[in-house]
Amino acid sequence: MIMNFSPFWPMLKKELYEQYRTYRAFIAIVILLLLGVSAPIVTKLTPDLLQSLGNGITIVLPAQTANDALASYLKNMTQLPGLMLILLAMGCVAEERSRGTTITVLTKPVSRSVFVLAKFFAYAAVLLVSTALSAAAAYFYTTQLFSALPVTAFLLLNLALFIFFLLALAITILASVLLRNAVAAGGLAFAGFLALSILPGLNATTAQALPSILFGSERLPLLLAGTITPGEILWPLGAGLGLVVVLLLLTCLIFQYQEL
Amino acid sequence: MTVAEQAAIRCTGLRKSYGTAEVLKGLDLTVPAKSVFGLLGPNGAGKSTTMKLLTRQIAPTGGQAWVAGVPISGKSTDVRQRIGYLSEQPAFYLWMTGYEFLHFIGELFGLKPALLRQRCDELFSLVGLTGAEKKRIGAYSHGMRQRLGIAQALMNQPEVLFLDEPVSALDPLGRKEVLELLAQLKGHCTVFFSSHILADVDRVCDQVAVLHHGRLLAQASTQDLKEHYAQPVITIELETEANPLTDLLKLENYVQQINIQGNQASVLVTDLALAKQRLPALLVQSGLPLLRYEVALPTLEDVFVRLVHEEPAEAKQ
Repeated sequence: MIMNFSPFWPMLKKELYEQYRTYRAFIAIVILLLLGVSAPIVTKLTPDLLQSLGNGITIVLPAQTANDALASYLKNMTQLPGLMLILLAMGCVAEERSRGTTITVLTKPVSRSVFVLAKFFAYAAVLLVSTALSAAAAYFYTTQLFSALPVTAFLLLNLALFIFFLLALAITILASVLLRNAVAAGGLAFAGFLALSILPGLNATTAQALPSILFGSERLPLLLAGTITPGEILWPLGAGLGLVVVLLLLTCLIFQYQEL
Repeated sequence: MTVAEQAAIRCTGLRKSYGTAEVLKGLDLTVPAKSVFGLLGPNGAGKSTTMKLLTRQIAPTGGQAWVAGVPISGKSTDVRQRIGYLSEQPAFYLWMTGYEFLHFIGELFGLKPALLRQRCDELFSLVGLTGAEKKRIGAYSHGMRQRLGIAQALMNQPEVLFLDEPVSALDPLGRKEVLELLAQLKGHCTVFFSSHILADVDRVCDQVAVLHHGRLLAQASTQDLKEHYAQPVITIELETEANPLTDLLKLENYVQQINIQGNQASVLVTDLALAKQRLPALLVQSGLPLLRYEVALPTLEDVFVRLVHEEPAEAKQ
């Protein structure tokens, strides 16, 4: 198969424009931004909220800290955005195939790999912007309401989050290539996302290879204290990115041999 | 220059199977350059499969084909750079405007911005969509979408234009407009056009091929096919019931078959010259009250029906 990458830019431009025109980019940015803003605010207000709901019973909570706000932010960001991503991207290939637009595009000199990769990078770009805005908001409010977080550790955690999103995205696009029905593809992607979230808790070896290990109770304090070794950071980030590449290659290979 | 390079399309033993079902059974076909070529066949004959193979949507199970001199399975040159294609149900990004869509297609072919703008304007004018460029495709009528589909297929000034059933879903006015547009393309590029609407093919095509059960039954110019395959029919209409014509004509050796419907009879003859000489005299002598006597010109439909019905039983398997 000829790998002509010159149509990549028009394809990427079209994908980005589609995300703008169909409000997908707007939805992603707003949801992630809200999660970033709400985590430190809700953490700050939680003791007062519990007190007001306690019906006269005194509830004593330890004083909330910047680390609690960060933990809340990480918890938020590893749940809802994954599901949002599945809903936004589950039809990216499946719907185009059922509508027939794949035929319109792929009878032009566009390779199937370019078709898939343009979609991946367009969603990745929107996720990058959304994650950056969310992180900036979370950092700002945490600093205002509590104290400043260590910048390097916070940036590394957001990089890990971004790679975690890329994994969820790669799984969703693979599902969308495998199944012609967008809803079925969403179901398959959700199963994959669940596996991605649950497997690290079941198997220690798998956990080492996923960026989500950095959000766990073992490594997060070390990361924030600056006592973590570089290997403990780079290995899950590198392995996560490697897994994204493998999933993308697999998706391109499968799509190559499918009938439109 | 090889034969494959001279012909716009050439297929040798082209096959396609899905599991045990063989939908294209060794197609041998040569389409002359710059012709308007019609691929005919009933539903399920293998027309769309042939189109999909030639436009690289699917891979053949066997055989080879060349389009514009380029092998369809070629690794070094992509045939899609040199063809245009309109599918049976053209699909668009409905959120785009017509102009944005054509611009996007032009970018896929790597056209430079100035040339691309000029080409978009030319195509909107050619397909009669000037004024609708900034309208969302979602708001286009069916006919407008079909014309936009033809415009996108012409973006790269293709050497071969593939149109899969381009008029079958259109109303009579839309069909007329699209057929007129195809007629305008005559001489500019090779148009390879599949249809089961025989009158449309008869109207615009120079040559046709008839496909049935995945096999090529015939390929020739429409005129040659009519002369070779269509049997002449003489229509006789009386003021009264046409039943007496059966007795009158049954002994004539040039009459092959008589079909009576009310006061009208269709007489299938084996020797038109002899029939023209003897039949009018016979009718006058009989004293039957004659309203109309007409030698019907053979149509592509007559040829098609005959070819499809004459296909040997073993070929259908």
